[in-house]
Amino acid sequence: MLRKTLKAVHDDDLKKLLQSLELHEKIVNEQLRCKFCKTIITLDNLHSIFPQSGNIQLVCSNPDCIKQLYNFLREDTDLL
Amino acid sequence: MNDMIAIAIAFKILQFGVPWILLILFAYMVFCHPEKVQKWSVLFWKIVRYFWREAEKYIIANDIEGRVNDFSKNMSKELVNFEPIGVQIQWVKDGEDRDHFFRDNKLIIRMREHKNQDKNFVYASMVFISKYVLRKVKKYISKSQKESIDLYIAKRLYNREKARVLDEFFEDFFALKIDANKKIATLIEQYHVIDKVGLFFPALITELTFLGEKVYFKLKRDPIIKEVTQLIKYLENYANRELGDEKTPLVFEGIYCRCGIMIIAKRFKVIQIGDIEPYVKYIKKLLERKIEDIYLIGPDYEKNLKFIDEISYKLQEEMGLQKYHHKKYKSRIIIHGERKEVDTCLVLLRSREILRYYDEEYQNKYIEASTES
Repeated sequence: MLRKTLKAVHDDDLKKLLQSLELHEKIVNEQLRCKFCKTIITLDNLHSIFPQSGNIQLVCSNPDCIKQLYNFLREDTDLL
Repeated sequence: MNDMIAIAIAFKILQFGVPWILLILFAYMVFCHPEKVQKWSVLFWKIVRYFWREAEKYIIANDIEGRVNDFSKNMSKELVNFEPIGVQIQWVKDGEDRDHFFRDNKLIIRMREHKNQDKNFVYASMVFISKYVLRKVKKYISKSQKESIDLYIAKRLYNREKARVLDEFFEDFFALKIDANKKIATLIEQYHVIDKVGLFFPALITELTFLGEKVYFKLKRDPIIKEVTQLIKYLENYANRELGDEKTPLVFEGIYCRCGIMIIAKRFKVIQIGDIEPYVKYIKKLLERKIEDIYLIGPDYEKNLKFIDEISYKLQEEMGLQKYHHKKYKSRIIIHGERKEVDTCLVLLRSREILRYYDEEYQNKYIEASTES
């Protein structure tokens, strides 16, 4: 069976990843917002991150935003 | 690599005092049903987790991969022309900095501790379904049609899981979408009805797959979307048909989708008369009308199956039809106003004269005319 990769980060490694992406401090200082609903991103509500046009986009764990992410992925993107 | 090590360790442990036949069975499962082995291995990793924190990732990854890949494999039994696609969780590595992140250009989804595994599973599998499942089917259809298909497929996946998983899905996605979007709610209701007679995958998704395999010169989406709406309605009407009803149309003659259902069920015709010619003659007339796909459907008892096989064989021999699919399943049809479960058989025959490329001339002749009307 052909397998497609889904990249993931575990909670144990999340802080380390955010630090290497230079996002951790900004999140702690509540400077970053969800791409879809513009709510402030926290370490608790972060659902996923992806690159777009040289920027790092963040998606919160609001089901509506997650659905918008799926709609976005369904179109022809190479994010998976 | 680490999965292989775990399997090798398990194999070594099993070698002590375990009969060879069990070892052979284990090896068979690993190579032929790896997704099932992955599901079982979760229990093993949960024990290891007490001693080794990293086992967390193996629990999450094997659980998601095992369940999604098993479902994908089962779907391939229900669909023709479907190559199952699986998922592989790739954990972010230590060297993931900004440069690497942009070079890789991939979404990274967060997974919580395995105590929240139901949420992890729902979110990961929804990403996978949205992007990879039934891509051909979703190529030309509308946004609501795509979303509703994803939701319905996901519902089918989670129906096989524990009630908590279904609750998670319903709470976060299904109920919200149905309440917020009337089109999606209507479509899902239609799929549900079509599924009652067992035709969601073998007929609807199959026809949409065939549609996705066609190529169009200067693609025009609107006529395709309109026709898909009509195809869904046609199958819904068939699903709501009462046994013996001869008024419900059984043939769909669209521009892109052209299919017909031939019900083979009248006992006196099958058992007492036993003449296949009237059925063959009728199907030949359908083929003259450029119907591409013929679904022979009838109750699954010995004489009827033999009758269906004879019709199928004759059409393959005389008209060069290709047998694409043969399936037995439970169908809930309406008999005297109530749905009753019957054992059913379906044979899908496909014409060799299928229009695969819609050129400019054809589109100008048929599609412009249809959009004007």
